[in-house]
Order: sequence, then structure tokens, then C-alpha cells
Amino acid sequence: MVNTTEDSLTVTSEQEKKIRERVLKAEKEKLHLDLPRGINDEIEAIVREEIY
Amino acid sequence: MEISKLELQNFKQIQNESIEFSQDPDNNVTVVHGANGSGKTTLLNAFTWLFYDKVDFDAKPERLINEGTMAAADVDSKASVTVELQFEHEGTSFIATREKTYQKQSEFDYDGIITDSSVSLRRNVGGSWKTVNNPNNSLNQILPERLSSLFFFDGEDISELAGVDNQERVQDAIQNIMGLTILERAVRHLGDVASRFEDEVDEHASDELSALIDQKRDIKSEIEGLQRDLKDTERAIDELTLEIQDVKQKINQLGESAELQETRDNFEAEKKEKERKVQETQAKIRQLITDAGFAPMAMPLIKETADYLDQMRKDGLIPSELSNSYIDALLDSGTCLCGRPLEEETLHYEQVAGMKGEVLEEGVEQNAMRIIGHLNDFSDRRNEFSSGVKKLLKERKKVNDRIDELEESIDEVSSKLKDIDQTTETGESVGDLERRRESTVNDRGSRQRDKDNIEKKLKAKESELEGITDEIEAKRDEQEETLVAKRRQKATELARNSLDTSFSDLKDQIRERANKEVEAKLNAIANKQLTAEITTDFKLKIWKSVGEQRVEVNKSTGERQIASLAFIGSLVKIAKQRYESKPDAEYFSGGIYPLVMDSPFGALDKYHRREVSRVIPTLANQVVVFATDSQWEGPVEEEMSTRVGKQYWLDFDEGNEDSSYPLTRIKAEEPAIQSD
Repeated sequence: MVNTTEDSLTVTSEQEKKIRERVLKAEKEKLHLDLPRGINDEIEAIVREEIY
Repeated sequence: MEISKLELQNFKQIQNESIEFSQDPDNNVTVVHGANGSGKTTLLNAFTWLFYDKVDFDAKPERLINEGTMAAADVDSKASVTVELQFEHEGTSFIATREKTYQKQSEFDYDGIITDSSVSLRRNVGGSWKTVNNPNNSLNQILPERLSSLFFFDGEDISELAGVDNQERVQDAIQNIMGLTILERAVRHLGDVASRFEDEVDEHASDELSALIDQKRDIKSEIEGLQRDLKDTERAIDELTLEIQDVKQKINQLGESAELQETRDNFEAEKKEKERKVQETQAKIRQLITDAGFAPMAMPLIKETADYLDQMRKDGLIPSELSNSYIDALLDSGTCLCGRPLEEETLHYEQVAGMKGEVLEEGVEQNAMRIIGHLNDFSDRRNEFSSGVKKLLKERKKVNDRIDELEESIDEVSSKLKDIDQTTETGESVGDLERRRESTVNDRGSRQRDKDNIEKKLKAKESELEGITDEIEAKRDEQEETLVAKRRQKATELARNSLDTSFSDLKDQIRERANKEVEAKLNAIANKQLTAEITTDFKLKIWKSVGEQRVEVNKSTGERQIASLAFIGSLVKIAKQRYESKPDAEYFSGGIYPLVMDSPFGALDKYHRREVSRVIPTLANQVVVFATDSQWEGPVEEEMSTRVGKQYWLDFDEGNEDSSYPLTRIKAEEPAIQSD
């Protein structure tokens, strides 16, 4: 059980910025692919790492 | 990137040939002449095969290796297809080579099976050739595949860019050339991942939260369905609008009908203006009602109040002085002078009690008389309101009457047109064309109503979605997993929304820039009546000035082809500018690319061939054009010959199927006999 305060759903602008930057970097690496397979898994992993 | 030499071995009907491309900036065009079926498309495909291992052939796409070579080979022996390109990129010379080896399986096996496949890229470093690691990736970086259809294309298809259904192609082209693809993909993929986290929330959620999530999903899928319907309806409206323009242009081909149509256009323009006037008047009426509409409504009550106060004054019920004892009496009675109850600890009670001890300069009676006077002023305001509304209603009626007259006149013109039996160049009678126009206009009206309904529904659903999203957000489940998943979903959505905003802003800025470039390219062409526009929803629209009006040009005309080429040319220019100004741009650095076009003159008439020929050499630093003799001769040759640096002829022998096989030779001299 956790304390369900307002803060439990807060995402800081720093966290959001980090996610944006890392996602764009991952997309850039797969830009040459028609079907960037696995990109959704990578993005999911990025979000899990940044928000825990 | 500048291409210098292409070598082909056993590639389709070409056994062992090469082409050197012009690299002279003043004579930047390389022309390859060839009859239909002689191998022009094969050459175009050689580029895409070399760079991306992809080909697009209508006939026998599976047979890449030269038939004659396979026929001559022994069973089990091997033969190779090779394409090699020499080019310069960012000051370095490169040689790219792709090779596939085929093994013959039986006597009549001309396709073979692939036993070996390789691609290599070498770069010249200080005079010696070094192999580049990961050649596929490097080739893709030099000329990204997502951009290739902009630089290697079948010219006959190019006018399609300005078609109704090519909104996405235009948007893709702009996104690709400006490096926005990353943003577009990131937005899409973040949306997918947000849904994954939503699934996770659902998995651990309470029944109540889970029900809300299900509801949200249903609404989302309804919204998606409505968005699809909206797109289809908008496309249908566009098609019908083009159809109407098309029919109107045909009707204009004959003097009498053209005159009638002009009269109708004038009536329609006036009708539109009058309809606008009606809207304006209605807005004024609404404003008047907002400002003074209460006056007539409140009038009976105001009159009653004024009479009542007056009567009270006459009956001496209003004292001439507001004494403390009078206020006490009121408070004790529990009812105010205005009739409202006076209960202790209410605001009204406190206000009345607060008057105790105040000395009024004028007597209450005098104040009451003044109030009665003010109340009577309302009567004047009511009169002003009534006369204002009456005036506006009169104006509106007058304009509506004129609209009715205009509608009658428009119908009359339509009837006259329907009675004309004369036929246009296309063999259709004016009467039939007018009937077709009328029915298409009705169809469009009905589609427009559908569109309005869909938009209304969409708006309602979107607000429903917003409500339920807030409700889900507010729902505090106690499971830790639910909370973390919710936070992740929220973070993903926030990142998605913020990138989406940047993406939309950038896309609009770039669209405007591409618009200016297309306009400039078109202005450079002789025909000044033509304008092109990339609309806010990324449709490439081509307009032509007819008199004082602007009409969208006909389907499949030279104008569309010219404007589409201008669009491609503008993208090439933007890519070059990006490369020159921002060589280290974060996501796409731009580049200098050649244009390779198969039959860009298509089935154009002579006039438009001349126009296209003028623009082609200006589209890119280096241009390669494949053309049949009949496409080349005449205006194209006249316009382009001064810009041609190198030319070749495809000499095709189709073989006899017994002892010889299709074979194309590439010659630098014109063969004695050429035909289409």
C-alpha cells in the first residue's frame, strides 16, 4: 500500500524532458529503417527507467 | 552527392554497359533516349537496387539476372548481377557495388536461385580505396531511402502528387526533407507506449477504475472511426469540387453557354455576398438582444413596481424620513419594504439593520420618486430596442428577398443551359453537362452536411474523452502497481503532447517555406497564370487564373505535372540550403542530390512539354532524364539541348526466344534507326 497523495502522480518537467530527449535519440538511431522494429519496447524501457 | 558513372552487368536486359553522367554545372542534364520497353525503367531501378536492394518492375519482377546470360550458362553454373556507381559525396569519392550470384537449376531455368549476395562501399582516402564498414547503413545515410522517391521517380506519375489522394505523400515528402520524420515517429510511438501503460493500469486497477478505462477506450475508438469518416467525407467533397470545376470548364468551351455560366457565376457571387450580409445582420440582432433584450421582458414587472411604489408613496406608506424606529419596525415585522423576508443573520437583514443611524440628505419619499422616474426610463430603452430590432429585421428581410430573387435567376440560367443541345469538344451536350453539374453540386451539399454532422459528433466525443480522462486521473487506487503505471502513462503522454506541439509548429513553418519555394519555382516558368499552394492540411493545390477568378486546374493536365515538378524542385532546393547552412543539424543535415526521372514529359501536349523542359534543368544540380524519341523531339529538344552535357541511346534487341534474348546496349552515338 502506498500513500495516495497528489504527489504520487506528479511527473517533473525534468523527467519529462529526459524522456523526450532519450526517445528522440532512439528514434534517430532507427531513422533509416522503414519499420523501426523494437522501438516501442525501447521507449517503454526508457519510461520505466525514468519513472519508478 | 554527385553521380559520375554507372556500370551494369547482367542487370535485366543489360549485359555489360555503362553510363557517365554530366557533371558540368552549365550543362547539367544527362539524357538517355530509348524506345518504350528498351530499358529506361531498368536503369531507374538499377539505382534503387544498388542503394536499397529494391526494384519495381511490372514485368517478371522475379527475374533480375540477364536472360541471355542464364540461357548460355550450364546447369549448376553460376552467374552474377552487378551494379556499380561512382559518386562524390561531401568532397570524397565513393564506389558502391551490389552483386548477387545466381545458380542455374535446370536447362530452362532463366531465373536461377541466389547463392551469394553482397554490397560494398569504398571511399578514396589519399589516393587509395578503403572499404567502408556497414555499407548498407552508410549508403542509407548518404541518400536516405525515405527520400529516394523524391529523387528517383517515374515522371509520368509525378502529376499524382497534386491529386486528391496524395495529401499524405506531400506531407511525407516535406517531413522527410526537413528531418521531421523523427518527431512524427516519436509522437506516434509514444502514443503506442502510453496505451501499453494504460493496459498495465487496467491490469491492476479496481473494478471502478477498470470500467472507466474501458469506457475511455470505447470513446477513443469511436473518435478514430469518426476521424476516418471525416477524412473520407472531406476527400469526397474535394473530388466532387474538382468534378464540378471540370464540368464547368467544359461548359465554358461554347460561347453561349460560357456567357450563361458567367452570368450565373456573377449571381452566385452576389448571393454569397448577401448570405454574408444576412449573417452579419443576425450577429447584430443577437448583440442587441444581449445588450437590451431584457427591457421588453422586464417591462411589465418594472411597470408594476413603479405603480406599487407610487401607490405606497401616495398612501403615505413610505415615510418622509428614514428613522431608526422605522427600521426597527421593519426588522421586527420580519418583512422588508421590498417584500423579501428579513431573517436574522442573513445578509439582507444586516444591510437593513446597518441603515440605522444614517442620516439621509433627502427624504425617502424623494428617493422613492426618483426610483419611480428611473423605472420609467426603462420604457424608453424598450422602445429603442424594439425600433432597433425592427430595423434590422427589415434589413434582413430585404437581403433575404434578394437572395430568393438570385436563386430564381440561378435556376433560370440552369434551365437555359439544360436546354442547349450543342455539344462540346468531348461530345457531351451542354444540357447533359449542366444536369451533371447540378447533381454533383447536390451531392456535394449532402456530403457537406454529413461533414458538419461528423464534426459535431467528433467535438462531443472529444469533450467526453476529456471528461473521462480527468475522472481516471482523479481516481486514486491504492495499489502501488496501478499508481506507478499511471505515472508512467502520464509521463509518456506529457512527452508525446509536448513533441506533438513542436511537430505541428515546425510542420507549419516548413509548409510555409516550401510554399514560398514552390511559388518562386512556378513564377520562374513562363505561365504566370499558374499558382500552387500547399494547404494547411498538406494538399498540393494547383490554381489557374481565369479572368478575375481562380479555379483549380483540371485533373491530369500539364499544369499539375509542372506544379508537381516545381514542388520536387523546391524540396531539392530546401535540402541543399539546409546542407549549406547547417551541416551539423541535429536530425537531418540536408544534402545535395541529383534528380533521376523516367519520362517526365509523359503524355503532355507540346505546349506543356516546352514548359516542363524549361524547368527541369533548374530543378537540381544534376539531372538525368530518360525519354523516348517522340517525347524528346520538338519543344523538349529545343529547350533542353543547350543544357545537355551528355546523352545516350538505348539500342534494344528483343531477341527471338530461340537463339537470342532481350538485350539493351547503351550507346553514346545515336543509332541509325530509332523508334518508340
